[in-house]
Amino acid sequence: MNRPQVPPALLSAIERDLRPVRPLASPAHRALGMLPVGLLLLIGMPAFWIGLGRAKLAPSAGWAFSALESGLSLIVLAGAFREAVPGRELSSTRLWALAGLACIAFLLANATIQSPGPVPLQTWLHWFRGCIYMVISFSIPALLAPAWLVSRALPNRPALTGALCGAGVGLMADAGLRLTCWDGGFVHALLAHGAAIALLTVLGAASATAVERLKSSDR
Amino acid sequence: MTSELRCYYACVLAVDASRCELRKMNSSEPPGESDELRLMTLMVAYQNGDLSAFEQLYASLAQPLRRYFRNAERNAATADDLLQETFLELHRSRRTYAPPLPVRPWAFGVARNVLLRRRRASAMSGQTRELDDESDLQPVAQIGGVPLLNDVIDMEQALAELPATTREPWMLHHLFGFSFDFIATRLGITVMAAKLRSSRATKALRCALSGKLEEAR
Repeated sequence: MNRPQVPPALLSAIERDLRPVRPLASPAHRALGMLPVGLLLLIGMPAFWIGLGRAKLAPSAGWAFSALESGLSLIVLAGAFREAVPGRELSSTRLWALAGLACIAFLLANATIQSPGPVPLQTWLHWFRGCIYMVISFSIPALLAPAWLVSRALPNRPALTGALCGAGVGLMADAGLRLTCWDGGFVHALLAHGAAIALLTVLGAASATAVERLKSSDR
Repeated sequence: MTSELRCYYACVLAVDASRCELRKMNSSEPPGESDELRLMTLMVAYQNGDLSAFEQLYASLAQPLRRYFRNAERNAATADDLLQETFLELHRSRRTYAPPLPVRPWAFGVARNVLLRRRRASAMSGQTRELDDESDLQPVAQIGGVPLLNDVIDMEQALAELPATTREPWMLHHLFGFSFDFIATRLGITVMAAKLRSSRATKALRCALSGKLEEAR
């Protein structure tokens, strides 16, 4: 049987554009590249409130848990970067493991959180909205970095890839937010911070899908 | 030997022969390690800007990819278009291949991306996928000058009648030789679901082909 020959048009198109390329770094290396963003989110929010003179910082144990949460969020991002590469999609077992890890990271970090006392409902709702705004306003610029890294690959499941990116960045933002959260109650953390992470997950999924559509329409 | 019995043996032999040809055409043997190593070396050379490496990669990957598209789209012209698009996409995305990982899963991953994109574009433009007539299926049985066998066409038709959800796992396993673990990852389903769908496809194919055999008798 004859070996298939490259059609001349395809060959000339490839020849015109052929130049050496450097393979993408491994997902773990690319996730480590997100470390500065994680540090920025971890320190950025306390610094913001200190700058406004309204900081109520968490005890040192809280910082350790936040650092742990940031570290675990890098694993979620590494999963997203792996998912973005064709042929390296995550199996359902690994996806469940990642989702479990994200939940454990969030619950573990917030399990030690302590409320200063009962908070009136009106204030509780105000702080609920405030926390969501804080996470979103700090995370959306941060979400651009993994979105850019994902767009360089070719995800077969862009929504899932984006959702993992959103969850990773959301966890990073929560790690910083919980250090200066005024409420500090577990229920508040679970509902407000959890809702913010869920919102970022949805935003990540939507943005990655939109990026893929844009890339498709360019081709 | 009665004519009925002779006909039965002829059918059995023809089915065996067609299976044999299908196996040859689709290289059902899972790709060996040395072949993967060769592809990996070619891919690295291609990433370094070697055009002859691309030509050799094309020679190795074009047929399995074309078969994948033919069976997914059941249209020879569309399959050829998709093949061209896939090699262009492989070129654009060549940096996403990370040596020393196997090349085939990556190439099929890109092919799947191209196929999904095409289907999405078709769905958005309101086009419906046309089920081809027999003339589109015949050339598959004639690849490489293999004589046209009715059973090969029967097999193609039986495959074409399967729903895509069961056909794809069956083909990836039985024709391309991929493991169920790989297929599950590729299609985003569980290993058990991949096995179940493949088993359903086998059952349906057996029914369809035994029906033809009965007709032949």
